[in-house]
Amino acid sequence: MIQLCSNDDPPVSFTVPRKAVELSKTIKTMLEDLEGFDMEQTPIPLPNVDAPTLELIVKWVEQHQDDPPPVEKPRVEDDDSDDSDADDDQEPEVVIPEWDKKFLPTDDEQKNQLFKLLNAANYLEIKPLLDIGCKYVADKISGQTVEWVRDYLNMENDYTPEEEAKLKEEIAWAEGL
Amino acid sequence: MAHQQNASSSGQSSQKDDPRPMRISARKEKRTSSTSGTSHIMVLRRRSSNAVVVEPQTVAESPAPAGEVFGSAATPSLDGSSCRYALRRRRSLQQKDEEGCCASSLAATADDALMEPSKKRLKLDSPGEARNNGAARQSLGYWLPSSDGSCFVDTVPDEILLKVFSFLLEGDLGHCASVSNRFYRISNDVGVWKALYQSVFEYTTPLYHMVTAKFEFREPPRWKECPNAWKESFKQLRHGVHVRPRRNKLYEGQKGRNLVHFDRLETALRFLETRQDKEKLIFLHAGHFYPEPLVIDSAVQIVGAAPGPHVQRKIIIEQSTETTLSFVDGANGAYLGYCSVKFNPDKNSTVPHQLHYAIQVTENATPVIDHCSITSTSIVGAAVCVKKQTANPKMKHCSICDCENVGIYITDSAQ
Repeated sequence: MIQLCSNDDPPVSFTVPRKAVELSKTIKTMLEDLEGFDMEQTPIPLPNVDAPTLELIVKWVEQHQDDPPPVEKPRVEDDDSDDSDADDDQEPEVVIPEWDKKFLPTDDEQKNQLFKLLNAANYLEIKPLLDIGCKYVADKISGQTVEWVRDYLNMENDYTPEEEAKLKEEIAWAEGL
Repeated sequence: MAHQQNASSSGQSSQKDDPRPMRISARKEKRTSSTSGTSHIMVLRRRSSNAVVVEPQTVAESPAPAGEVFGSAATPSLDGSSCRYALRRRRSLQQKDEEGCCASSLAATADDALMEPSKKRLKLDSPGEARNNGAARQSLGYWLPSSDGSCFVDTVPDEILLKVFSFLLEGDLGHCASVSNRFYRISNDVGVWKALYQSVFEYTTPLYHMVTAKFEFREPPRWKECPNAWKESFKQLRHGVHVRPRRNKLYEGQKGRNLVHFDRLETALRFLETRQDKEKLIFLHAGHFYPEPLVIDSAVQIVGAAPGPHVQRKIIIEQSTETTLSFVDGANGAYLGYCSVKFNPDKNSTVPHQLHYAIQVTENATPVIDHCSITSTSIVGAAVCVKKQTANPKMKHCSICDCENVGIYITDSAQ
């Protein structure tokens, strides 16, 4: 078991199975570098992660600790027999599993938490979590109007009216395909 | 001790200077190497001196002049505070850290050790994705906490937004560009557009298309005054319909995308017959097509679409009973490019094939045939036939070879 500490004052610590915590490439690399230490006795502080976020991270890695490691290029698409080199550069499609759909903090008042989680997943290099989180946000934004996106992400419009008009022209092609 | 000297320099060089064979030396990241050497010594002492209540902090520090502190800067000091060492990503050094000391990334290790010898840090390097994403992304800033916390997107680094945007489609990216200046910048990322472009068009190099019947691969630096060649090429080719068997889902039925897809070349051609308002353009993706004999009588442009330098080899249009492709009256401004056209009759057939070709151009047809490889395996007839005076195809960069009989047959006073 490995202990992780949040950046709160006082820090909140979580005890996590080593296997689960190693889903974080950042921590995995560190543990490998410190082989020989009794890491079970040494809490690992995470200066960029607060307690509620760390709790989510811990929940996620515990749920996914037994996942098979990602296969190099799993093409799940149907009978894709022709010309294999056509898809060499494509990333496998990201699908959000059912458990994760419920897990992600998706309520409106939790949006802040969702982005904190993404930040933490990025910092700890938990790629699958970052993938599904970003995919969730992308799905949410996709097909929506500019105003909706601004509203959803709580963002200010920092364009001048002139800039806005110019922009409208610039992106019109993608609208009216 | 060798590792004392190098601690003040950057992590990379300390690995080089350290004469001891390192267990982890195979790893890409070398920053912690001198650390683990020290760690081992420390651990050994701890275990061998079981009787003494071990105070590793003393072990690490008490005999140490300043240099030793550097050397063991990354050693966890087991001094009883719950946070023994901080785990940070290297790139986050650009950011102000929590104590408010603004550390330059190079001097950080030594500086931290000097300023706070008791609170030691492990500079753990992580092969962050940013490193893999090429030069385009290296200039992007790291996250800066927002002052008021109201706009949480401000707390998210560009690399996360890039990841979000990498899941979006062309229409959505347009919307995102309109959200704010920052979103505009990120939504125009070359890498995002390149991936998007290549998932739709497959080309390894963006295809330049400004006028009818002209298509040319052009490396991004040659796109004058165009910072994002992929996006620009997408824009130029946006009216094309795609023939790509079994990939319907990629083109149709998605929010944020409005492209037309067909499984068969014939149905795409029939669709374009009815389409008047936009240019008639078909992207024929990699594959071996055996369509009905095709007759082109309008300004349809058919362009092969596949990755790699030899696009035309990956798209083959073949017929075995009649002329594969005929350009007839009305085919002005028609274009065929980057594919292979074959007439390949059954060897045992008794049908005469004198008048069957891979490509036939007849009166009043003036197509452009560009970057095609044209073959006929028939023992009679020709690969290409140009017939009648007013037939005037423009053929460029084509190879007509491996024919059993004649390559080009020009007849009936054609020019």
